[in-house]
Amino acid sequence: MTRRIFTFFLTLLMASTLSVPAFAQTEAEQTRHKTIVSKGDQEITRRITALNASVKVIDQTAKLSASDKQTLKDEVTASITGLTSLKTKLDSDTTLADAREHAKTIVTDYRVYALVLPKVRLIKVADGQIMLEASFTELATKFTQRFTELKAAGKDTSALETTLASMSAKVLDAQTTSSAVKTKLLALQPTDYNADHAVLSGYRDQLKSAHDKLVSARQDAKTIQLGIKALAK
Amino acid sequence: MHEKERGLFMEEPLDPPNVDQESMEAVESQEATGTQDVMQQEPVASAQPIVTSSQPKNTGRRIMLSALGLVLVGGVAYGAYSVLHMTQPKAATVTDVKTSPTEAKKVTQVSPATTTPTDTAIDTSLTTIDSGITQATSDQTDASTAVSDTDQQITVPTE
Repeated sequence: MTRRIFTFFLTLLMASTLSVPAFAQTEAEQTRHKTIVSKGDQEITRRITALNASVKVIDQTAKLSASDKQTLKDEVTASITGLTSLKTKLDSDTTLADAREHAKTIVTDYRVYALVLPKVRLIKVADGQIMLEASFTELATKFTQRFTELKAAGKDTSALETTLASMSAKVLDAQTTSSAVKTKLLALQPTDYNADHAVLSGYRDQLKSAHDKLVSARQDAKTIQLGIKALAK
Repeated sequence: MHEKERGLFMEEPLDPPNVDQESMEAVESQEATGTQDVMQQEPVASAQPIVTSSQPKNTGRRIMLSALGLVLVGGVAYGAYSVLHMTQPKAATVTDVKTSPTEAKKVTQVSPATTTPTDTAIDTSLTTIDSGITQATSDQTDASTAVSDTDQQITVPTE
C-alpha cells in the first residue's frame, strides 16, 4: 500500500514537472510574444489606413471600366477584411509560435506595400496616360482639319503633316503600352510578387517609357501649333 | 462790241455831217485792220481814244488766259487728288458702316483675323494635354515612391 502511494506521487511529480514548459512561457518568451502582437497590430492598422486611402485613388481613375474599377476595389476591400480578421487572430494567440506565424502572414499573404498600393498607383498612372492619349487623338483630328483649311487657302502643310505623323506614332506606341500594362497590373496578386519581387518594376519602367513618348508628342504638337500660326499669317 | 462802238463815238464826238458813207466805212475798216490814216487822226486831238479802244481787247485775253490757267491748275489738282485717293486704302469709317452694312462686313472679313475656331479648339486641347502631362508626371512620382515603400513595410517583427 505504501509502495502504491509512493508510486502515485512520484508519477504525479514527474508529470507536473514535464508539463510546465508545454503550458507556460518563460518571461522572455512572454515579452517577445507581446512585442510581436503589439507591432503586428500596428502594422495591420497602418495597412488598413493606407488601403482605405487607396480606395479614393481608385475612385479618381477616369478611364478604368466600371468592372475593372470594381474588381480593384473588391481586391482592396478583401485585403482590409482579411487584415482585420488577422488582427483578431493575432490578439488571441496564446503561443509564441502562433503569433509569429500570423505576424508573417501580414506581409506574405497581403503584400500591401509591396504590391497592392503600388499596383493601384501604377494603374492610376496607366489610366491617366490612356486619358491623355485620347486627348492627343482628338488633337490630331483638329490638326488635320486645320491642315485642310490651310490647304484650301493655298498653303503648303506637308512639313506639318510629317510632324503630325511623328506625333501620332508616339501616341500610338504609348497607347499600346499603357493599355497592356493596365491589363497586366489588374491581374497581379500577392502570390505573383512572392514569386517575383521585381514584378512591378518592369511595368513601372514601361509606363515611364510611355510617359516620355507622350512628352515628346507634346513637343511635336507645339511645333505644329506654331507652324499653323506661321502659315495663317 | 459795245465798247468798240463807244470808242468810236468818243473818237468822233462831233460826228460831222460831212462824213459820208465812205468815211464811215473807212473808219470801220480802219478799226478792223488796226490802222488809221492821217485824215481820221486829225479831227481827234490826241491818240488817246485809239489806245483806249485797244485795252478791252487785251484785258479779255488776259481774263481768258487766266480762266484757262485756273481751269488747268484745277484740273491738275483734281487729277493729283484723285490719284492719291485711289492709291490709299480705304479705311472703314463709321460713316461707311452706317451707310453700307455690306461694305462694313467686307472690312471685317479682310481684317487680319488669323485665329479660326479650329485654332481655338487646338489651343484648348493643348492646354488640356499640358495639365494631363503634369498630372501624369506627378502620378509617376507617386508610383515610384509607393514602390520604394516596400522597404519600410519589412518592419513587422517575425522573431
